[in-house]
Amino acid sequence: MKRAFVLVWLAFQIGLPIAMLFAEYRPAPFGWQMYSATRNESEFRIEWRNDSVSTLDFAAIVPRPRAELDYSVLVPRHVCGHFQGVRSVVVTELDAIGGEGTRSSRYECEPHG
Amino acid sequence: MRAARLTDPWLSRETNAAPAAISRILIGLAALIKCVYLLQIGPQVLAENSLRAPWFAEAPIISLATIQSVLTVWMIAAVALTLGVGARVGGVVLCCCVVIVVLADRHFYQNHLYLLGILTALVSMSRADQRFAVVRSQRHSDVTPTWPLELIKVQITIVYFFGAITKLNNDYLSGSTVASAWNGSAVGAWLVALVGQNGMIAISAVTIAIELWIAAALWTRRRRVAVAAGVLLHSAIIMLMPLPYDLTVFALLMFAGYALFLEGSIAGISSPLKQSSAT
Repeated sequence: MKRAFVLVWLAFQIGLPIAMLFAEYRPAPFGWQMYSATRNESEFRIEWRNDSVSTLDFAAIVPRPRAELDYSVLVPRHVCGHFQGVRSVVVTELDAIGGEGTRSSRYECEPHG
Repeated sequence: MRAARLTDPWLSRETNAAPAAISRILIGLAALIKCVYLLQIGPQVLAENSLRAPWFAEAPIISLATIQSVLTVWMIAAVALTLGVGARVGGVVLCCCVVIVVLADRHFYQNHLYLLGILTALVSMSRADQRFAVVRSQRHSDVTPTWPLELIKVQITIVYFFGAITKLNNDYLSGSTVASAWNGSAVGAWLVALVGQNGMIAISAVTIAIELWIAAALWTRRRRVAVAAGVLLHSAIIMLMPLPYDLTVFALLMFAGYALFLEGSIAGISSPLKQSSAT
């Protein structure tokens, strides 16, 4: 019993970080990938149904950002689900060094009701 | 049968409980610091307007009140583990609390929190409460099974090894990752400006080499040098990077593993205490 536990434990603790080496997104959780990658910051522009545009205060909705999370997917989903009257969210990934916009993508919200 | 012949003596082996007790205390202290920190950041992460990141799409939303209750239990369990009073139960409870907090939201996941869960589980399987405990157990003995402690040592090696090899990428080797992290603290930013880009490239390569060397050297006769290098490495990390609380917790957990690698030295130091308590 003890032997089986030790073998399973070792297989899991060695196998999981190996599996995480092939994760799509770095740093991946459970892989001991501390500081192995930095994520470029993103800017989120909200386009409202009344044709106005505003910039999202990222820190207001994500006070403790984690490098393991892909906010370019999570933030638009959150904004569309929680804010009334949003038509779309434009995500612009900022270059870490220059601060210039490097890549943009648009997330269309599904109309409510 | 052959595997059983090889592993059974190892599984039944026992060792001096003093290093395990020091390890237990360090893990308990790390858990206490982390608990205080989580009580501070919990209301921010779980605020009504905050973005929630569940592990699964259909996972239930865990409230702040639930997490605060769990953290209260966590605090009691961490004190029990540190003091050696009901330490084994405390360790199991603490491990469960860590699992609940990590599963509550992906924003709570941190590598050192995952490590804390693993180490509390393993130290609870040893008899780490046999030494340096406020209340001595009735079935007192100075020894503990070796195998959970060996698993902790393996875990420390795994952390250093994967921590090093996952840094072998262009981003990290260019020095930008370290520079970006160091720029978050005053001392780190000053050092980045001082050494320049070539200096950061060299420092990045050296950190990978040190992590790999420590992972291997902890298992050799050079283990004391490896421990000294590790203590310096973690002290530098705390000084040069932001998030000193988190990094202190991580350092304490790694030091808990070091205590087991220094088994011979710690057992030697503890013997006078044993004699004085017997007289």
